Amino acid sequence: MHTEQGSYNKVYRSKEYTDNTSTFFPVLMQNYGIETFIKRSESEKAGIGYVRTIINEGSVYNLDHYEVQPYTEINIPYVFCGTDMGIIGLEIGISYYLVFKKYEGRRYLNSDGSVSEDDADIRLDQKNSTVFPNFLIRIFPENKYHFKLALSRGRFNAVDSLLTASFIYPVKNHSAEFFYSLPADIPGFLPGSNQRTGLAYSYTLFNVTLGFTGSYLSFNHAGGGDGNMPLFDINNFSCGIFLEMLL
Amino acid sequence: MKRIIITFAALSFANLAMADTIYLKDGIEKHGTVLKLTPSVIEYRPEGDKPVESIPTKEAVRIKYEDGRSIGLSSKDRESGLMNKFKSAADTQGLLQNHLLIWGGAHNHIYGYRDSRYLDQNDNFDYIKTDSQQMGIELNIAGLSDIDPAFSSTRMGFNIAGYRHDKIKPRTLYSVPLHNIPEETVPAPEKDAFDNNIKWWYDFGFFIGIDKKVFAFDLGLTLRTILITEEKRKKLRPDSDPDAPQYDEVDGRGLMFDDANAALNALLRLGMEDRTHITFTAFRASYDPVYGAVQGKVSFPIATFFTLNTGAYFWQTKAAFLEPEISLYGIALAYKAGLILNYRDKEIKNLSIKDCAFHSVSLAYQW
Repeated sequence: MHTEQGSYNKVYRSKEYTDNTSTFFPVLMQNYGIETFIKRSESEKAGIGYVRTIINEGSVYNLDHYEVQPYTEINIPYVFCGTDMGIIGLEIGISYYLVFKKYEGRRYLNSDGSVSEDDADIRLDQKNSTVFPNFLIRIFPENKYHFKLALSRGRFNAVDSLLTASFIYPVKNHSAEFFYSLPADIPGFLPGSNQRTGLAYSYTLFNVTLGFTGSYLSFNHAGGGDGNMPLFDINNFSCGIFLEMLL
Repeated sequence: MKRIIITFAALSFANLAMADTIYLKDGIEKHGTVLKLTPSVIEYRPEGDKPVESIPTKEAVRIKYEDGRSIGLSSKDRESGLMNKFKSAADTQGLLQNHLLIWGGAHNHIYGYRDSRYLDQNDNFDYIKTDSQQMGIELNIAGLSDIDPAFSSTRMGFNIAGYRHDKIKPRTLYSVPLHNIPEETVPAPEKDAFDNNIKWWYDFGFFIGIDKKVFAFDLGLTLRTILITEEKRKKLRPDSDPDAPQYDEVDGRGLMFDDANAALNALLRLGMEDRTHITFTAFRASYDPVYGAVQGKVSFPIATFFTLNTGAYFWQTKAAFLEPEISLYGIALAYKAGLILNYRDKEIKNLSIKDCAFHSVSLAYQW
């Protein structure tokens, strides 16, 4: 189980500057996830997971109009199966990327020229929702230093870290991890993701592992464009905790 | 007394059979429960509930677990163990079952259009729905060793799939004179008549492939045709003014070819067929020729007679579905229900969820 809190930096072109520079405004973003699997034998591993990323609504005045970030929920249920051969692990599955947005009521013309409005509601965004295969590749055994490359697996955020490469170094009950999220973006196939760099630390006691993560947004790609941000803006940072249990 | 001794001996041997065994290089065997195995040390609890002991891993050659699994610990064993697993997986045959599959389903066929009566030009989509049905049959013959022993893992087959939708009923959109918006009909009658008529899609495919224990791969070709029924067509009047052409409506030509093309079909299964596995297909299995020709499916065998499949369409639309399956004596009945999440059509958006639902039933026989 994992959770993370940070900022979603919505990018827009500022009309206040003559160069129309891309800038951003932050809104709160929260992420929750859970994943479980059954390992019947070395050659059979099967599991399910669910990640939910919530982007709060917000707006900023841009000279003559408001730039709006609507309330957005991205839900990613996923399934996977695979094999763990000790030195290498291969898992593949399917992820369902469901985007729900708050839509304002649609205004339309009546035959007499008057204007009416539909009801506002939260609906499935059928332009940005999608499905794609997920995978996790692990090189070297889990109890030694090892590498992982994962798409929509493990600890991830629907906006910031869909595709992540990580290096994990366990020492007795402690474990340190360096991870790097890649801005995966294949139009029509994979939704865009930001680029984040982060560290994680965890401690294992008996069958329970408790860990903490911290990351830095190094490239804003999914927030509506490639925005220019100050290097050490507080809105670039996110943090989270995670809990793993062997049952 | 003799009975007690025999019972004790039997229990001791039974306990031995249930314990793990560590084989050392000097020939000694250690029995107990292996708690931890690392590259440097093996920790185990000797039988009889004694304190935990450690053995350097380099002094051991093999561990045999109570469930029958065996791990080689010499460097030669470790290296060849992984390679042997890959070779074994590639050499071992799959279930090699013949397979007959029949499926049929229904859902809405959507015609999307833009309505200028909606003021937001970025969100002025609307749609007309009409009924559609799909059906298909697929036959797969496995294990062609009668032809040649080299073909013992080979399989081949063919499939036929069809899809039809009813005529799209024209909708009249009202005029808004104050905003110079005229009355219009969608689909527009003057557009290509092929858009409005009843349409059939027919796919004919054949394929050949291999069926191994941990994977299967088929490749083939599918010929795709689209047919329409042209009920009426417009004919220019002989005395028509070129600047203001006039038409007569005459009978159409009936059943006609609209389009034809060929596509590769494929099936890739990763994992053992009777265990949890994932399958990717293109124009294979119970597919939808218009809305879901490329799909993926993860199969979870819950019980001997029940499997839960969860899957997705990757092309032509993006969709999610669940497919519970019951199988007895080689006959499998499955019901697929799902939602289309993204039509991948710039004219189709903002559909009601219930209009995006689809379902189908399939019946399969394996022998």
